[in-house]
Amino acid sequence: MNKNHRVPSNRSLSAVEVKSKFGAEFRRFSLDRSKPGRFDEFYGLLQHVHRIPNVELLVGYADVHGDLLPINNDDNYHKAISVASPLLRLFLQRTEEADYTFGTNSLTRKKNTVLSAVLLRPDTNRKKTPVIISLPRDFRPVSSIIDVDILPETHRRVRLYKHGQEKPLGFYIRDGSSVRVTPQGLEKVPGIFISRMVPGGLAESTGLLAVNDEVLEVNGIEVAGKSLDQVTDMMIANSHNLIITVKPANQRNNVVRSGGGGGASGSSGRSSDSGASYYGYSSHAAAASMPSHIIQNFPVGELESDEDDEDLVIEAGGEAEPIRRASSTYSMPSMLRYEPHLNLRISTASTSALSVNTNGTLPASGSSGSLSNAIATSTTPSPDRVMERRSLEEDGTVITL
Amino acid sequence: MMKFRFRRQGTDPQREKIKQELFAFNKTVEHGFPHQPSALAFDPKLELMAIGTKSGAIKVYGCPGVEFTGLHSETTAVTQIHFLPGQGRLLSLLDDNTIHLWELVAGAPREVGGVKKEGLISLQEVNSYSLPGRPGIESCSATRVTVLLLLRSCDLLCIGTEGGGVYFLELPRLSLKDNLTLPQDQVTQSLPDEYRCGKSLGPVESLQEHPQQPGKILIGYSRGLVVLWDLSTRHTEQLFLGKQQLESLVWERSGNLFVSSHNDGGYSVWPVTNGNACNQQPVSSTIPYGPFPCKAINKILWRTTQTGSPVLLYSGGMPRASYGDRHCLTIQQNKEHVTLDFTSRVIDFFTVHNVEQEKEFDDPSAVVVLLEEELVVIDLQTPGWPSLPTPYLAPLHSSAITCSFHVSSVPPKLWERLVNAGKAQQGRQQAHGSWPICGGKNLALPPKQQELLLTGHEDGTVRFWDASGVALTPLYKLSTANVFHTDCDPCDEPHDPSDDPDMQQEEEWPPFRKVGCFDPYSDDPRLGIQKISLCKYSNKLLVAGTAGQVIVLGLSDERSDHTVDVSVVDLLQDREGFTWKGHDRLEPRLKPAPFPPGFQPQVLVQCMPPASVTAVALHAEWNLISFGTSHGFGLFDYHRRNAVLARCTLHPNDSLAMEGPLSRVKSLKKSLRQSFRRIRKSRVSGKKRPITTPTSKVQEANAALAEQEDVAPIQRRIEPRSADDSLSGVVRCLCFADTFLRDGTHHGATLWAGTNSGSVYAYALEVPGVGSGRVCERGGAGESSVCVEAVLGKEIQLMHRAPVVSISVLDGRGKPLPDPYEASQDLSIAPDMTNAHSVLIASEEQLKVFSLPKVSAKTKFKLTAHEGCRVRKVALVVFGSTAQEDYSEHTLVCLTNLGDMHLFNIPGLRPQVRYDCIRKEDISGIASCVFTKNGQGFYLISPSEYERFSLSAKVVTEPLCSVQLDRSLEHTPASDGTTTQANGTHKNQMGQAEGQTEEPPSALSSPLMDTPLDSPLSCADLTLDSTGEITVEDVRDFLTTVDEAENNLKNIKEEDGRSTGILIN
Repeated sequence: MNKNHRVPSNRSLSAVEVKSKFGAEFRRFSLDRSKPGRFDEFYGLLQHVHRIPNVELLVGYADVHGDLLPINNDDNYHKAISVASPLLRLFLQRTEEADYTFGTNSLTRKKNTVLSAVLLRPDTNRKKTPVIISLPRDFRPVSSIIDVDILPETHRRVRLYKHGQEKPLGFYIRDGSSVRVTPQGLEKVPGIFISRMVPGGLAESTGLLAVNDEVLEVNGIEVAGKSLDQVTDMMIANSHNLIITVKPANQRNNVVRSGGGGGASGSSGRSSDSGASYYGYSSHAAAASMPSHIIQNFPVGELESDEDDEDLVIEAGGEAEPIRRASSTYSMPSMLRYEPHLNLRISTASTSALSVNTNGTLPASGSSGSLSNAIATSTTPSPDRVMERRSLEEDGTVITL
Repeated sequence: MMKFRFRRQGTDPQREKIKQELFAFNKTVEHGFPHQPSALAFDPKLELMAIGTKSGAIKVYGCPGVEFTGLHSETTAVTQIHFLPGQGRLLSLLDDNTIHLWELVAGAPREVGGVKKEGLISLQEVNSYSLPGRPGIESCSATRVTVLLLLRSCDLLCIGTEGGGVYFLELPRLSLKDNLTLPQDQVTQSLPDEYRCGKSLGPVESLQEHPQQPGKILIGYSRGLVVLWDLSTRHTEQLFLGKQQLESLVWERSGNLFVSSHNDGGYSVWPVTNGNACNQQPVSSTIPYGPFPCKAINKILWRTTQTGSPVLLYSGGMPRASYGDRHCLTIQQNKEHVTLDFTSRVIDFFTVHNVEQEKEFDDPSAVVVLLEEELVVIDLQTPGWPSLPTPYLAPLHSSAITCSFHVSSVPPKLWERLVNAGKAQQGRQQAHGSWPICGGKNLALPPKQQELLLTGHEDGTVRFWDASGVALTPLYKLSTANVFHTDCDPCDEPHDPSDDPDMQQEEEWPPFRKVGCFDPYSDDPRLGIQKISLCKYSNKLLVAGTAGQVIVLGLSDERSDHTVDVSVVDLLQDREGFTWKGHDRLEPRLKPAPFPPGFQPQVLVQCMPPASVTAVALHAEWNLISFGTSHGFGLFDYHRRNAVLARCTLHPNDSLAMEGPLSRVKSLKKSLRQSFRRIRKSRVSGKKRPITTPTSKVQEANAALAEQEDVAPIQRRIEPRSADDSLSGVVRCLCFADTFLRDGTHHGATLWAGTNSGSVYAYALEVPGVGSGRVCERGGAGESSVCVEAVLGKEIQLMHRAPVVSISVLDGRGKPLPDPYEASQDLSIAPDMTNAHSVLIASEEQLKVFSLPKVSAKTKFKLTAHEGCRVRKVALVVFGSTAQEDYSEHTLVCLTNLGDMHLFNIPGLRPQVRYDCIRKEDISGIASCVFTKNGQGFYLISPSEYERFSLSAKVVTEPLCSVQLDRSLEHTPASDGTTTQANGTHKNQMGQAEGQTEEPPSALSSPLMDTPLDSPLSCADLTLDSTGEITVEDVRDFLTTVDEAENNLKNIKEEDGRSTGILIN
């Protein structure tokens, strides 16, 4: 099932070709795109074509991003029909079996994206079915704080995942000046600041960025010395996977890492900007050299996934048709905001990354494996990290206010 | 990734050496006419002319190819220039009341392009002086300089001032001779009481040295008084009590009389006879254009001739009511009287005449008039006083430049035919006289190859310029207006008034004669030229304009009367819901029209809707042209005269595209206003220039205040580009290529088109007789009946949706495909058709190489993501090495919106060097930039001037000249190094750029170890590992089968080493 395979395209746009899989069986039929009908009719149709009239079903479909999304009401059913181009792939399971799902009913969000990670994320870790529910990777992330352990506490590195959703990134930046302490005294330097949030936009809904936050880096590149237009262009060029390092205007919500005190603080030493950006940008390398300190809520490879943009190969009809961008699968607004001290003071203190997902604020780590790894190592600070910390303390002449 | 991190190309010393042999950045010479000239001077001994500009530049010209440029450290207007004749020195007076001494000095010999150049001469400032003002009084003080007079002995400079005092400076040291100073009171004392009336004499308006008796000067005051002053005895020799406000004075050669010109439009002749201490009345007083009130005669010259009556030349003096707005210069001799009527203001003029003391007469040979927009030279020796064509200082902007196109190594045959066509055009205008300004010697070797620069203009003309050397000279002018019906039909062209001046004289007083070619007014803005393409082998020219007109022209040596075939191509393709609200298409002329020798139109294709053409491509070997507008693109077979293809590129949501240029202005308004605000703000806050005036503190405070007042800061929205951004359908580039689109074994003709929204369309063309395999398959089909066909092959949607700036196909060796005919006529190395081709797509944000025929990404460079700059212009250039004669590299040159040049190797796309070239605020400069094939380029630094620059270490076109001087050309130690760039716009960048070339580890090429690894400086190494992180763009394949496509995809996956997700069909 995971194999990529293609079906000759259906050139007719009015009919939606449906390929439905239940167990090992496939059924093919078509629906009229303009008149999809209601969900319960569709549900009945599925039970009919698979000849399983009394079986409770979980209905999922693969969207253009390769994510498996649920069909359980009229809205997402119509969405599924409208974005299917040209083939709609359905995956049916018995509710009681639910081998792809993880306690469906315990989720308030009702099966939203429950299947996606297992089926569609290529990572080897994911091949085996986890037992617990609601792992962060089971959700499509919209934003995350990354590199917490290598950035100074006053800074925050935020990653916004644009994917294909229709929600705008939704923020504005402006010129401004910030005051820095240097050996020569206070110095006013030009800086770039977030000036406005678009209500309902991605940036606002994550709660990780705020008006007057100073932008320090864009995807690992420092913005110092760059004009507003240059920074704008850089952000737009990276907009599908934007990683911005900010100095929040409100410093009270900062991630506090040395919560438990003791040995744990050693692993999350203060580091300078340059060091931080090094890790941030080349996480492959960083991960290779010091795996125990880089803990992200997503496998390291994903940091680079901006290079993959949105792999999208469409076999389409002969006539030119505007290439459709994927539509949002988020019919539900993200309700919960980032609440700074809610989950952060974790006793192991090395929870270095935090992910905000559509269905809640979750402490996050790359995988359960790496999490335990981190816990294990965090109690014994690695010598080179201590070294680094010292050296940084020595040359810490430049203090950023 | 780790292993790549330390393998940086920048650390390779071998590569660094090669790069130094290939690349070097220099701004070499400015072509065209200096922007806003403000002063003119002539050295009759060296025959050099100097022009000063409002931006503080001084440009010295001699014979064609001889030019020197100097730039004052202040951007202040040069108000006067005076040569020290024969010395190669000159004095300049600036608007800020400072006097500067310049001299020509020989620089150290240096190596240029592998050839050692002997002592290059440059113009350098050696000294400056400023008259001490009375403390506390600002610029309009009594010591503001009004006129300068350099004595013939060249050791004393007389300075007339606003306050009426005359000061004397010793030369060349520029030291004030206090004891010689002549205050106005001293003159006033000697005046008769009734003339004095207790009033001031006003500023000194003119100072003139007695032509025969050195040491005696004529001082003219504004109120009208003229004094003959003896410098040695320090007393007034004669007084001339003029009543009219004085404008200028000139001596007659003998010194027996002088002429004064006045504010009321009249001139007076005064006798200078010994013993007559006080003259009340002039010999004669004339108001030539009276009796109604006239404007002032600003300057007058009186030149004696052997034939008897003197030649009188003066500017201004027009009747105020009827011709007060004309810019005129009158030449008068006996009965002959011509009023030269110029289209721009007269700045200054001089005559070229005998200066030797022993000669009895002036005998002027020419008058040189500097106008605000051009230089006009009138031959005074040929009857009728015709104007002489200028060999340099061509007014490029006689109609505003709208586009340009460069052709390298023009075949001699085409060159000769163009020159002949140009000569035939000038025909009767050809004057007999020779160019009067011919000082200096041009040491530059004749150019190895002829270069042609084509400029398209607003009035529908295309001008062909000889760009082979330092002097840009006009070759030929083509007008496309006669293809259309316009308001002024060229058939009933009025007679040139210069043909029969007698007739004109009877009809009109003053006897105007239109002179000069600066004509900024366009009959019809739709005629404007937008795109040009020329095939130098087949002599086919493709010209496209503002109203969607695309004209194919062929070169002919004979005059011809014919009708032009007209075709209309509908680019909307029945797309509904759109109405064009812009201008109408031009009405084609249906009757046969006469076309002079030269390029003659053959086919006219009109795009509907008639939006401005945004891209063209010409393939003369296939007889195909392609053209794009904001609505779509078309393909036309001009041999068979039929449209092959029309494709609409409009996005359904794009409503703006239909509104035409006028309403688009509205939507631009806001952004324009914002950018102006930004500029103003940057001007106020930017304290680049040290402010030396006592008011600087106030200014500083004001600037600080202005900064604070900036309550509403500019903000920028961060949003990814989306498909329905406005103008997404604009076709940005078109390209023909013989390559592999269908499969890896059969190559054939293809057409590529890129749009503003990052879409690329690739069409496979069936051109009879072209391509391998395909033709054989068709075998028996009669070729003559076969039409060109186009089949959509691929559609690529770049994920970042940035506008596609350029598309080019690289052959199996990674070299760009040769131009049409080059391969088939053995003019270049045949492209490698055995190995897989690739296509280089440059968008505003990224450079990317895709393999062919399966469009999969091979390498890329994300310029915007790393540098924050956007690609504006891209060219594939061959760089020759200075060290090895036969070594060259193909390089991608990329000009960004910040005005810097990035050079990348191909197909690896590794950054090589970066140079700052154009100021980022200079949007028109960046937009006008055009590259040559060998690493040079041009961009407009003003509406009338091209800056020529060179990125190549080998190919450099710069002035190389010498001047024979009375003194030695040794460098005076007092001087400090000044840059040789005019217009004061980019002197700082020059230094930076040079610094970069000298420092091998320049920013892009070799990130220093101590820079943060992820700073923008280290993007070099990022490209190294980019192959592993290829974006698979959305490629719609219309030719390959599904299986193939799938395999293609699998291959990518395998190469990547990791799969990226399920693909949903």
